[in-house]
Amino acid sequence: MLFNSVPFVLLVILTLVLYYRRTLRKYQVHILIAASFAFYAWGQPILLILLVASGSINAATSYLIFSSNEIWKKKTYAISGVAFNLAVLMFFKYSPLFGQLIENIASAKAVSEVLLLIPLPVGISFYTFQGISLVVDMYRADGLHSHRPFYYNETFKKHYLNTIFFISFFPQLVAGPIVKAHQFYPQIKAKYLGEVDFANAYKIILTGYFLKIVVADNLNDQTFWMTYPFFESLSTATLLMLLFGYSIQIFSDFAGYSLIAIGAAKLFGYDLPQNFNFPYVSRSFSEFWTRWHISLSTWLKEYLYFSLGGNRRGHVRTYINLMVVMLLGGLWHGAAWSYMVWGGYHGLLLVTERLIGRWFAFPASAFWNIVKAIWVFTLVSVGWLLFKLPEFGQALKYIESVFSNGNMPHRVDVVAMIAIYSLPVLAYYGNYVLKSHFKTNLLDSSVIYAGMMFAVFVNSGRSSAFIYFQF
Amino acid sequence: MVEVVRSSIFNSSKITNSLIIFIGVFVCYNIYLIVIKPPVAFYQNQWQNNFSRAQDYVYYSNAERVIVGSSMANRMEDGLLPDKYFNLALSGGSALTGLEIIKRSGRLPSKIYVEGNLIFKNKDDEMIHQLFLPFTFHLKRLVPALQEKNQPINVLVSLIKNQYIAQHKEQVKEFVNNDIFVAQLAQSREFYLSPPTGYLNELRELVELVNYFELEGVSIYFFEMPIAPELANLTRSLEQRRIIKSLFNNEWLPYPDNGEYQTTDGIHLTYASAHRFSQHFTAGADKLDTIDSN
Repeated sequence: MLFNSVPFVLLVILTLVLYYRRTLRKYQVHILIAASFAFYAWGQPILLILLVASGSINAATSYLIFSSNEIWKKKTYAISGVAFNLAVLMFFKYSPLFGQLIENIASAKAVSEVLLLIPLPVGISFYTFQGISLVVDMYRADGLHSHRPFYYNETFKKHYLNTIFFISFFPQLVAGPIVKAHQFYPQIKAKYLGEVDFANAYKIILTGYFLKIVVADNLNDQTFWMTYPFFESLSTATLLMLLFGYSIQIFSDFAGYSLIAIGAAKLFGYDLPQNFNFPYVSRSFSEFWTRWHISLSTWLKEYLYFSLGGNRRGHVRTYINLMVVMLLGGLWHGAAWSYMVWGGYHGLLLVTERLIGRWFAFPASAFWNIVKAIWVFTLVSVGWLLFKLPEFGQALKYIESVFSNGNMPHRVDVVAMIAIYSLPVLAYYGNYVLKSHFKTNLLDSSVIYAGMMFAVFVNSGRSSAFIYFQF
Repeated sequence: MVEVVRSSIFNSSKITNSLIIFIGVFVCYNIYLIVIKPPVAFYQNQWQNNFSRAQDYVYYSNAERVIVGSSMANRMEDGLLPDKYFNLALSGGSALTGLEIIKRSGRLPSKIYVEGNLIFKNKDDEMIHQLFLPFTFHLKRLVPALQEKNQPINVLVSLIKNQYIAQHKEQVKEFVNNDIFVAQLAQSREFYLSPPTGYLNELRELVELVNYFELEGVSIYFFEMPIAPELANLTRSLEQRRIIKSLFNNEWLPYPDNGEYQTTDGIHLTYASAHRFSQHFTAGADKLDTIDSN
């Protein structure tokens, strides 16, 4: 079920009506679970079985960790829980990749054909990571190791219900933000209508829909021309504008979705973590990763990077850890080598930046901040090419065309449309910069909200799934 | 619950004001569209152009004669054909999509002209699904601001474009970028050298649709758009024609003399050539009318 669909709006309204009824207050979690199951089952009902199975096994292993007294048992259950989640993720997500490898290496076509048929359940990358977070947080919260106790002495029945809820909560189920157990569980309690900040939720949801439906979907109809072989007959200027447009599109699509998820969760009394913090103003690649897909980057930092030693084992080990995290983070996005290359590309940028930073620093001035921000944006945009053209050869051809198509005709219509639909995002960023320096928020006005709502109703692009649904 | 909701949202004057402004602007925009009916001459992309064309047909058309086909027939733009024609040929689309749209709209014309050039292109089920979604179908018919062609950007650019055209009287030129023409003609040649394959589903759908329309009293004719002479006698062109003629007894409009027309890429007519072909098309259609009535 897409967020930008009538069934979703009806589901939210119906759930809200039931959720805040006084007589049903003690069933609030049950109501949200039922709504989440309806949301997930809308497109792929059979895969609900996997979601419930995943939630059940995570509930069992995490409870066993909690209730065991011996460290070696806790560790065994923790390792089993993590291994289960990784196994599910690898089986359903990476089977096609293994299938291709097997076909290339061992020529076992029958095996590879079977592997290629395995479906990719929507949201699996997100809910398996949440499962890992639960198991690890439970292990770390045993009183002996933890500085972050979050769990209370619940019965297994209560814990099971809360875990199914945590794994399946529909605003963040299929494309994040990835919520960590220690952030979410303390919030599970009775919610009251009077406590809900409807005004703020309205602003967040409206901004999310505007970014997704007006900006991203309309840009999607233009960046279609980036696909192979269409880009081969476009001018250099058109190709560069398309790349710029795709950067704006992918930000608007993903940030828009995250805002809708955050706003929808707020309606039910739950705070999800911020997922985007104006990433394109970043002045360094490490800053970029504190602003883009924040929930994933903090998850990788907390559960992988720190476990590998972080930056506490010398420079060389830090660089290796960074590369490992970024390569795996890239591969998380999809079962294609191009995503791993993308991750490696960012890893290389981070390592290079750290290396240079040990001996050289740019002067701290507005001019250099702008130069650095443009530099970061340019290299990040080049990286997005691998998302639009997952076939590596096509991405290389695109870059080649940028350098060789100087004499090709311009697509003025495409360039103009990209410019028009990018303007709101540029205004959004400009407002953020103004707000940061002068405490002025020009976009927080009735006219702007009215304009956004008007555009959502009358100027939406062709409805398309969120880009990150495919991950 | 309603009391608390009201007190939460509407305690914010910004939100209240924004809703009032939105409703005001939305209503005014709809009134503007209903009363002024601004002519729309600009679409942001091909899909929107197709979808708007389909909406125009299902919501407003009373045309006696409808053309269905692909981007090739789509070159006979609005204004090149007399008012009794509606061109439902879709860029990147197929005759099957057009036929299905006519059928589901319930607006049956007296004659349908089916382009034979890319007749086995598959139907766009997604577009048809979006077009006929029960709730939005009726809502968009009643509220013109929700129709794709009436997006504010389209209306605004059309106003400027129509002003410009009225002042500068757009000149009809035979303009072809030779490099693109050569490259794309070579690609088209590759395509036309091979016979059509994997078309049985499409053929079956075509038979069903033609039978449906004929049972409803609609006359079906086939026609071909001109293409580069180098492509006209290649395998695909000839084989498609043979297959259609073997299955359907319907009449064909007179074949065009391919050498008389210019294309931009081997298969799509230039504006000037489309202008001339549309005259050939309507003359051929009228001649068939005369023969049928005799």
